[in-house]
Amino acid sequence: MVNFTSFLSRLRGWLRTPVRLPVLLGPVFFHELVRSGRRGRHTFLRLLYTGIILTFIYLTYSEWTIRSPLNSRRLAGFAFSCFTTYTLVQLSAVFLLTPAYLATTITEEREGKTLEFLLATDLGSREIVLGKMLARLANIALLLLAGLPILSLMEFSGGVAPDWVLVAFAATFITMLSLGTLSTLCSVYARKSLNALICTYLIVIVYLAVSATLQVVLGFPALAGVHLWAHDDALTVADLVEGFGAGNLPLAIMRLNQSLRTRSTGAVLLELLRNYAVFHGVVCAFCLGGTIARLRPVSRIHADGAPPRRRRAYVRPPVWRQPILWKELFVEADVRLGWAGKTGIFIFFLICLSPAFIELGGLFSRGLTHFLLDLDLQGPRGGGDALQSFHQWGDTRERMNLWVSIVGTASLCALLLIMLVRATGSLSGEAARQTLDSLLTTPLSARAIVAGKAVGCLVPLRTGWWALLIIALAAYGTRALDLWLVPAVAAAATIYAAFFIVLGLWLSAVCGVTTRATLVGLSAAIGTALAPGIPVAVVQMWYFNDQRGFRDLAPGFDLVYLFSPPELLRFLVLRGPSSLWTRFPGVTLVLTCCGHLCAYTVATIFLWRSLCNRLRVEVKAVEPLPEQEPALPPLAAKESLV
Amino acid sequence: MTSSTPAHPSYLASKSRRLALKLLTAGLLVFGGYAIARGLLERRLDAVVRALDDREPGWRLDDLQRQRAPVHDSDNAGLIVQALAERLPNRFMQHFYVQTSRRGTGPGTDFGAAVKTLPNLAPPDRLTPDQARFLRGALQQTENLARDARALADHRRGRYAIDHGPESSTPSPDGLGIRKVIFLLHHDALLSLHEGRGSDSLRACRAVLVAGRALGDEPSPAHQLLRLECWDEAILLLQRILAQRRPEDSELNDVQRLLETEASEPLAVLLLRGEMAFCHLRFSAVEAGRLSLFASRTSPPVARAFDWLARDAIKLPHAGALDYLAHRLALARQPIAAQASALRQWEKERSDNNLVGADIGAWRSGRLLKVVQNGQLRLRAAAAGVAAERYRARYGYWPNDLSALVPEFLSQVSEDPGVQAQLQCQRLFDGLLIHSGTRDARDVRRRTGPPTPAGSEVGFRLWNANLR
Repeated sequence: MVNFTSFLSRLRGWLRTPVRLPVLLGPVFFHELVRSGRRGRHTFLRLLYTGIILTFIYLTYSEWTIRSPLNSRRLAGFAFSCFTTYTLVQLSAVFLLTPAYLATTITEEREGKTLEFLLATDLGSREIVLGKMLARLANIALLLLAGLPILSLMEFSGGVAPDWVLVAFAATFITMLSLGTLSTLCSVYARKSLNALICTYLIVIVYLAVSATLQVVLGFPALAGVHLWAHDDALTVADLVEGFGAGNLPLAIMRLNQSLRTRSTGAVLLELLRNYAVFHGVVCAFCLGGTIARLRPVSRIHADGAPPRRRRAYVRPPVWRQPILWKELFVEADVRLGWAGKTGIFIFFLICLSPAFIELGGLFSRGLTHFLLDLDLQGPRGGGDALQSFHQWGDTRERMNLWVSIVGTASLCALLLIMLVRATGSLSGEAARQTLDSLLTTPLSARAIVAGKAVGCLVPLRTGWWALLIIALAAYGTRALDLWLVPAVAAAATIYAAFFIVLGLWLSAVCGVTTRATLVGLSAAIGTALAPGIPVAVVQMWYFNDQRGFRDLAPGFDLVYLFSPPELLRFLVLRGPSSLWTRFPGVTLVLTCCGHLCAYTVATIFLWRSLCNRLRVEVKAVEPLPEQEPALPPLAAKESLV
Repeated sequence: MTSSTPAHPSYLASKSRRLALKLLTAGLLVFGGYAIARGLLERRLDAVVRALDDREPGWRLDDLQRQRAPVHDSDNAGLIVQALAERLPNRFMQHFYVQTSRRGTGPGTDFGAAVKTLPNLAPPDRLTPDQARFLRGALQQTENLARDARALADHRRGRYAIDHGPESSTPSPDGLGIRKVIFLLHHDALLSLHEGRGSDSLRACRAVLVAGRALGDEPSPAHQLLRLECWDEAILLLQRILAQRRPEDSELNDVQRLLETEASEPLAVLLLRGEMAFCHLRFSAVEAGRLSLFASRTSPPVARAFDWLARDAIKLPHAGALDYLAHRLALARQPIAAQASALRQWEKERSDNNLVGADIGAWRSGRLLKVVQNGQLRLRAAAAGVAAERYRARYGYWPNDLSALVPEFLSQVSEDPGVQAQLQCQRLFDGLLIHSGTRDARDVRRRTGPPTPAGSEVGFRLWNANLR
């Protein structure tokens, strides 16, 4: 009886206790959602995204109609081509935007010195991480859904099966989730937004490259069939390689493309999606778990100021006459990526350099074999050089030139983008650390501040400069690059670097927030690369029903494309039959290049002056008020009278 | 006691020191590893060369040249060949067909067709009137030279004056002029045969053989392969002569003796010794930097680096190739019957302990030996064919078996040097074929040298007397 009474009292007590359901998202999610929803930039981004999709679909249309008009027989194929274009644009947007949005999830708070306050609240790590991450993912999802009406219109043309649409959207959202969780994990570990951004892109690029390279193993059945442990049903090396490559989207698209020829697309599509989902599900779980589990310990380490890697202490040199430059060089010079980041960079550059190594190694091997298998071991008759008839230098030179034009240009463009991203976080980072006002109150001129910051953007790219030096040496060693072109390339690169750094600083000053400045800066960079396509598209629309007239004008468009920075850099390096030097008079090309570079120089000067003026205005705004007689409190005034 | 804080290095000093340390470590690792690998390679090569010095004294090229038997100028067919080549016009072979056919472009002449079909005549095919006129016109200016060239048939020995010069270059075999002379002799024999001068054509055939035989014990494999070209040319001519004429027994006997003497030369040993000597010479030149593999006037700067790397990269193939060739030479010196089993045994041992570079030696020696074996097979078949022709001339019918020729016409039935099986003869509806019984015709077709007309790929072919 007594037991029953105590049971009842316990039950009553339990029922009276307010039940608290486990909170998944918490207030951070709604705060982020509302805050980001009120920003006007989303509308602009949606418009831009749909505009890009429509542009690419228009290009697809012009490609389909350039030879013959579009009739009902070709409509289904055209619709499928448009769908492919749409999906590729969508996936590219996810790849570009997700890290840019989510790599700043935690670092933004850390840079604004508000993370400690957030962690000190009653909120759990899960609520903070999921809240911030899902709010930003929701923004990207809304952006992607902006293109849905275009896709719906395509359905009227037929040719696109509903399962393809579902699979495309499923793959897009899986990619977004996976990239989002990875970016958030990087954001937890990184001290700065830029580091997190670079680290995320590096991990993704290295994964894509390594998993694609490992597919070579499948070409060797003896190696691919090796069991990982002594059992007949054990996993083989091939299973491991295929499992590791299951999350590689380009590989999956290639396999899908191959299956289109064999007419077994449906089964392959589902199998690829299943494998893709499983791989990225594991990645999501790992990254999300790691983010939630490591948020507080890593934040504590960062707050305590313990460096991630102990280094020997050293004394910095005395402050120079340009203190901002000194600060950028000796205090904020290092982009600390940790061993994983450095390994990633190393692997990335190794992959970039591998075609040159393979080409030169193959040439050496062929030359040696040629000599060893030669009948009289001297090659040509009567010549002193054993391989005088070794006519492969010309081919090697051509291939190395192609490699330099692709890898060199890509590396240079990547460095320019990194400069831009660093510049976009430069002044806004000071503002976030609440040190900008202090900086502006110093006796330094606005020009000195901007110059110091601009030079500082060049410093942390040592690895990139080394890589460029190696590429240039390889090119010079094989005569793949004409020496007289090196100053021209250097001049063009200097002008672009100056432009992108000043643009980044200007955006940083104008936008105020690093994320916004970075996004706008990246969009501007992509815009400058794609801008020459706009007049071409306009002309093409003008000649909508006169494809022959358009084709007559087409050679001139190659000159217009020179106004794109990557294209100009590639043009300066590339030679051979595909080079523009063979198709246009040298004077025309030189004038075009000079005009283009002059335009960038003028834009740089304009931005520089605008930025200096803006900083001068802010200096005036934070100037202390002129000294006045301090107003005494009434009691003190009375006492003074007495 | 005062505690002093350690003095921290300055920023730049620390950075530069760290960079220097990294560079030093990387340099030590790279150059240390390179030096160790280079030392190991050199040690391996020295061991192989020392072993070769013990096993095969006098194997280097200088020693081989000193060991060669002297030939007096009066016996030297090589000097005659070189003198003839000098008297022949420049680019004689290239202009032979072109200039003559241009001269003959008149009414009633069709030298274009004649020139086109001339190199592909089957042995029983006779020259057309146009072809004969063409040859007559072409050889008109070199009539005296052809007569002097036929005089080579009276010689048996020779030695060409080849100056191998610096170790990085060897004069081209084309420079000897052998090809020019046998080209002349070939066309002279065609015309002689057409004009009924059978003995002249047979002398031309023997002269071709002697022109190759004059190479003697020349160690250069590239030059010795010319000898095989001479064999091919002589056998083709002999088939043609025996398909269209009935030579005297004494003339046939001379040809047969010459063929048998040539076939009995230890050419495999000679070629392997020369190959070994030249491999060592060339590889040593590359290792010493005297022979450039990649760099030339037009090559890019990386070619110098490649040459520098090749100096050490070639040491392992050098050692492996020398080791293999020395073993193969020892096998080639054994009796033919014992060679096959010994070779199998040694190949098995080699596969268990394969050396890098041995494959290079195997490939080089295998290619040479294959060519020599095919050539010797064809020489022996030709000698047996001549003996069969003599048999037919005496008894009026073909022999049923090659053993029927022994000992009256042939001392013994020859063997195929590749597979140690006796040659066989096969009666055909229009003649006789002498071939290696165990060899597929495709093996013989694979030999190097100029393309041969139809009907002559397999062994040696004879045609019935009523068709001549």
